[in-house]
Amino acid sequence: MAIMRLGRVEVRCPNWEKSIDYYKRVIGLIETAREEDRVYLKAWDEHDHHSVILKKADSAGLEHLAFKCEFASDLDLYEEKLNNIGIYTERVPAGVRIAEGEAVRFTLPTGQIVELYHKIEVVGNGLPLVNPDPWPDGLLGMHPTRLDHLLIAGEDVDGATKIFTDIFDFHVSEQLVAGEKNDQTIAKWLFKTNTAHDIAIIKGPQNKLHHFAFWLDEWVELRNAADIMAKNDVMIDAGPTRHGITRGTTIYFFDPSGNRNEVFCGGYITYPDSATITWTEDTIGKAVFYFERELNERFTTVVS
Amino acid sequence: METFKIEVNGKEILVKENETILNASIRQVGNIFVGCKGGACGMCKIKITTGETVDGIYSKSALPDEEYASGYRLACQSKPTTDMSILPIRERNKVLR
Repeated sequence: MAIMRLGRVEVRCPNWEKSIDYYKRVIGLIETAREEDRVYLKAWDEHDHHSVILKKADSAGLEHLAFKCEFASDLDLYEEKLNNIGIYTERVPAGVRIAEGEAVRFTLPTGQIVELYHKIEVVGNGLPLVNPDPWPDGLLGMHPTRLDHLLIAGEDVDGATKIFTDIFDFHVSEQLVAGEKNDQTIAKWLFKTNTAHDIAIIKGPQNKLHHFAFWLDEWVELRNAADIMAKNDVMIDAGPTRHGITRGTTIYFFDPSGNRNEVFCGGYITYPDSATITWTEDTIGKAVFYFERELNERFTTVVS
Repeated sequence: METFKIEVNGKEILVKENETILNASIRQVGNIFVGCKGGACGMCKIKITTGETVDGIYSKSALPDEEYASGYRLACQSKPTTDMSILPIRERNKVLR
């Protein structure tokens, strides 16, 4: 029984037409389906039908995030575990959204809606499964290989972290702490795969999205991504730079609806026995932006 | 090309035709906070003392209809149609080390 990965994010986009164009042409995601108020997209190397859903809405932000489970029976098991600690769950029937099977839905103590699912239509990555070339023709924009992680904000970081560690067997790769005894949590970075983080949680306003991130394989692709952002007048928040936390390289930027995106590359790999790394508040600049060693107020306060 | 004069906290900046108030502020150090520039975060919110605007698409959670009706705008989505006088709600970004 196991969550395998962050499977999808559904993001609200008031600036509808511009946002669709941006995610397809500038980020370089591939459209796999469309309804009146939703567009379904995938990164090129993902095999499942979609990993990003854009939702037409009056306000920006995260509609829901979802983890893909290895077995259909995982939904029953996780549902029981969540109910046993008093967390209410409901079932989202198959077919509510295109290509998706049934899901278990619950709300984190930080306010975000999470779904757990197993079934989703598989469409492939555009390459054969026998003797494939390394990438398909016709890729656009930054063309990340996959959705990688997200950072959510809320008041009860420790409470949300406990659900991930105790119910879903995530591990804490890194943490940022404050206070004289370093016992106040500012943020936690958690993993279930073998990357440095699949989800991170930061103290902040309830039920907010700080960013969601796409994976790029190599540092030089970040420079190309920055060129594409400048060419398309994308609002860059920070970077290209490196994180102290995760050691990954990064650019933060905003979609036309004001949701923050990241392209992320590198960082170390993790194992279930990896020790947790701690950063103290006095090193916060270096922890987040290793080269600059300082944070801008925008990065710490702007959420959607 | 038409330009409009905008008084921001007592300092005058010039806004070109089809330019947002925030972009004019960035160009002339008008000290309006620069957030997402997508109308979602509300960090570039201003209060109009005098003047009129046309506005682009923004998140209703950042600028509810009642605030719009009371003269608030998001500088990243707002273009003047007259000379104006405005007050930023939040000042320029600070650096944290």
